[in-house]
Amino acid sequence: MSDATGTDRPYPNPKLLVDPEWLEQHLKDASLRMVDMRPYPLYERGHLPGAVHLDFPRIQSVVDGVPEMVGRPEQIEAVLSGLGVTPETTLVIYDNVYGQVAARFFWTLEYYGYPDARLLDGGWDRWALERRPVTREEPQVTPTQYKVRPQEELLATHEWVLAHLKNPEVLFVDTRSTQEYHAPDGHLPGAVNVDWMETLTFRPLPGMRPAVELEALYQGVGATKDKEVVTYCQSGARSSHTYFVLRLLGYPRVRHYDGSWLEWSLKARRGQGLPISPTEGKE
Amino acid sequence: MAETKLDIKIDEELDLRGEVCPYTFVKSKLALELMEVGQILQVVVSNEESATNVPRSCLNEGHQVLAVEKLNDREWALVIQKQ
Repeated sequence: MSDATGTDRPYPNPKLLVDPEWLEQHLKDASLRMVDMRPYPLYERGHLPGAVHLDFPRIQSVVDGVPEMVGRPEQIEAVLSGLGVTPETTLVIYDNVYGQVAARFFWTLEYYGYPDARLLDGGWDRWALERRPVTREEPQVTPTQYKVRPQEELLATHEWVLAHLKNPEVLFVDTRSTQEYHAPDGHLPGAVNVDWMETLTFRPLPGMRPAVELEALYQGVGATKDKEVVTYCQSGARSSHTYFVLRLLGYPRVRHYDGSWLEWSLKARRGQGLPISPTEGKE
Repeated sequence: MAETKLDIKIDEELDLRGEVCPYTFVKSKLALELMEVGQILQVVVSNEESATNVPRSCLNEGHQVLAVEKLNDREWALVIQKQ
């Protein structure tokens, strides 16, 4: 699959974001597999031709009492094998919740070494608003035997976060709303706040904001490309979306704190020595 | 389903207590998509994050948020009319 995906906005890593017009012209490419991550009752009522359904909980697991953590290796291998993909397959993922669920799968795929995952710009909502082709036919899939290869440099564990909180070369981006960032529950010491929804546009059609606006958004809070940028939110979906945006913008070192605030605040309450701002830490 | 003080005819109720992001919005949107225009959905959530973010997302979708009522320390009722 070529790097061209038809976007007219010059993102540094343009192949990651698929333009609906381009996808409509390539729906029959054998190397493409579309993945619909909306709830099944919506998939059943109509989806992109050739799209397979993937239920969001299938890519998540519970670790040490923390829900919504990344799926275990054998779990993701079963998912990918069930989707019938090989390392040569280009996966185009979409949802109807502004890409946060699709992006969670995108990060999961990158973490497990999948070579070519992409998101559909504007997701299902834009596809439907533009009245592009839809079918109720569910494709027949021949299962494969897919093996994952975890890329540990893309994952921040709570131990890694704790060890790098005061590292000036690492910037933590809290992708929750400003209200959540300033809530009594707090945030990571030193983290900056960029609400993930700031990356999106909703009118006239839903989709990603232009590259120049996104770059200004992140550079404005000091998230420059010479730093390692670590994203987190409450459970890891919204921060996966920001991980995707930073990859789209060509940031060379981006990690995702998978446990996010659910894990950090839980372990802090358990007295496991994790600091929280504004009550503790360097702020 | 929790009792609210609102005098509004509710067409669908969704109890999302114990659920967190992104499921609160995923399930609210699923319910709205299966309803008719003009019908009213009441969602009960048990974290402030969802009480803020679900209405915000529903507004982005063009729906009308009729009420966000705090029921007690940990529960909120969100009343949304499908547009």
